Amino acid sequence: MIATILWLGLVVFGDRSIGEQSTPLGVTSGELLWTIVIAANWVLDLSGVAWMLSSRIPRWGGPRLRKRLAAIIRYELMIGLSVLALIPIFWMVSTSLKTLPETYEVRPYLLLPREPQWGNYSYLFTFERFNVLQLFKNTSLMTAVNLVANVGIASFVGYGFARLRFPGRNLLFMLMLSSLMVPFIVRIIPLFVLFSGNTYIFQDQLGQVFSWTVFFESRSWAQNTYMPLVVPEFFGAAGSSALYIFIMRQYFLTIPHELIEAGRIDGASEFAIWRRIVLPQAVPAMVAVTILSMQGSWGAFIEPLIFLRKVDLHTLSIWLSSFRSVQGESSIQWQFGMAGGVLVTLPIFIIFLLFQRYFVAGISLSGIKG
Amino acid sequence: MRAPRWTIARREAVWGFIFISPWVLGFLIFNLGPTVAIFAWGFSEYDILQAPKFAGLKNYIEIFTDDEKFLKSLANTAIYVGLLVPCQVVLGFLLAVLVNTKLRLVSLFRAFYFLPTVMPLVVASVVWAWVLQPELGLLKFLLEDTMGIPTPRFLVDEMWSKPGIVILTVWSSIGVQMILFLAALQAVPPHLYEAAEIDGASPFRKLIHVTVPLVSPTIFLVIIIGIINSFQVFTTAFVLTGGGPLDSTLFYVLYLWRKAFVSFEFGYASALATILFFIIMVLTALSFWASRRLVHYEQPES
Repeated sequence: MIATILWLGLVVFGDRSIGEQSTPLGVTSGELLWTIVIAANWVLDLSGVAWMLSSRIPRWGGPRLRKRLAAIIRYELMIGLSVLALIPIFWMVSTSLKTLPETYEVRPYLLLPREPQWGNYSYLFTFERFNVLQLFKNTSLMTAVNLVANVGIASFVGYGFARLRFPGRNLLFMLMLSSLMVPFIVRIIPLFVLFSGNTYIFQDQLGQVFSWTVFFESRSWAQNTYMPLVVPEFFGAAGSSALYIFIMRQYFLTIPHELIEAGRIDGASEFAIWRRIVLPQAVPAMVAVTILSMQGSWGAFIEPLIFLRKVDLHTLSIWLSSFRSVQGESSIQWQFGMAGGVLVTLPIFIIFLLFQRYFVAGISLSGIKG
Repeated sequence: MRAPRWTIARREAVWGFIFISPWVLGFLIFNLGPTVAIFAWGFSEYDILQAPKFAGLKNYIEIFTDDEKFLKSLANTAIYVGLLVPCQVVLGFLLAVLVNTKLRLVSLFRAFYFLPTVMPLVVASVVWAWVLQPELGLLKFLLEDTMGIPTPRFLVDEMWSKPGIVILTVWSSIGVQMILFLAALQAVPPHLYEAAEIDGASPFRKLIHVTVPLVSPTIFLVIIIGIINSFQVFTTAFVLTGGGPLDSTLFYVLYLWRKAFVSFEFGYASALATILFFIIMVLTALSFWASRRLVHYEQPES
């Protein structure tokens, strides 16, 4: 692992012309050398792990030495795997700062740009087909609205499931969890019909009973809006709403019974208890839901793809996917695609760095995520 | 004495219904309603511009007898799930064992492994399209150009397109599995390890005979989530390959999406969606059935 990293370092920063002499094996001497070093390192790693796992009684070395060695091997593996996890991200950033010819150079291969092209980023904002600022605005607005909806609904409904007894509660709760199993496409097709302005299904078949659906008839209002992306969230019925309700419920269950009971004895209504006693206690869970919701809305892809068919309504993820799927393979300008990727990722990375433990708490509280 | 108690309970029940009412409404309108609608439209011809026309079993007959792409996409998806879910379980578990330590800086490494999970899936897909690019990609450079290891042409070779998507998905989801397993590992009571050590068990035996049974509920959870999610794979295939080459990454939902939102055959798409619904139901039920035999649930100490 360490050898792999040393070699990567050499590739990134060093002069790769060392060891360019060819060998009888058909590869250059540098390639041969590094292949051998890396293979040897891997063999050492794996035998180290095997040694750690198998030997019950140390044949040599005291317990302290064994512990040291175990720590070294563990660190080595962790560092190596970190490189694997991070190198695509590094590669994205590095490509985003290259010129077009640099992205097409194979030998000598550049992992870092010769001169960082910050202009790639400003160029993104001058695209004609997409107004990137508008896309940022669209995406942030959708994320913000969904966030309010998700946190509000999840904490409200979650309290009902956690602390109020009513007949059929367990059954309904199981029903809610099992709705996570329903494929998203099953929800989306009818939602599309409902919001597409073609409400014949309701009018022809149910007559005047559903004449209120005329409300949806105005195409400009219902088609190509954010309604289908936002309205279900306000009813706890979007893809991961059940998850958020579950997270809140699990957290509410940990709030001491005495607190709620005291509120009841004081004659507060359940709404007041929820608002004044329970919610202030549940801030960590609410932050976890906030973050999961933000992450979900910010990166949402299939719903915007289906519901938003006008370019100025698109979200960032639709825009980004067009770097790959609209243009032909040969005309891809990877440096702009990667710069766009950095722009879309950056806000969510910053939030991750600030609220890291809530991300983790949200996932381990729920146990379920994308 | 009895009457007021009854009213308190009743009052609580009324409040309970008030609190869950938004969800009940949403469930009826946006979950149950659509599911019923999908079942019904599966028996109709429906192009969204005109009201659906009842067509009996026509869609289903066509799907099962005269639709090669249905079988192809189903097989593709099954292969993909079969490749991905075992990787997620095994690698996620091993990664969690690796970072389940109190060594210094370990939380930094955990953050590193979790970082790809935070990245939006579309971004990850575009980045990996570039990493796996067959002529200029990073992977080919690192393996083939510098070490002489022949690299499969991941996104353009029919055989390697699915593994390419699996690699991307493992990269971008392993952090979640790591955290789930880590939480389970940290809940294992230390006295069990101590007992195993007194019995002379090697670390490997401890891992197999103590750790694995105790985290088996999490293994089961990861498998179920994995099956439900990966059966609905869409974004990665849409961005990376668009279903190609030669339909080798035409996954079920991608095919369904084309039927519904490209050619607007809503009746046909609804029938496909109904089938998907039942496939996922059956797979989940099977996993639950298997878990009863295989999963060890720790008895709470009295």
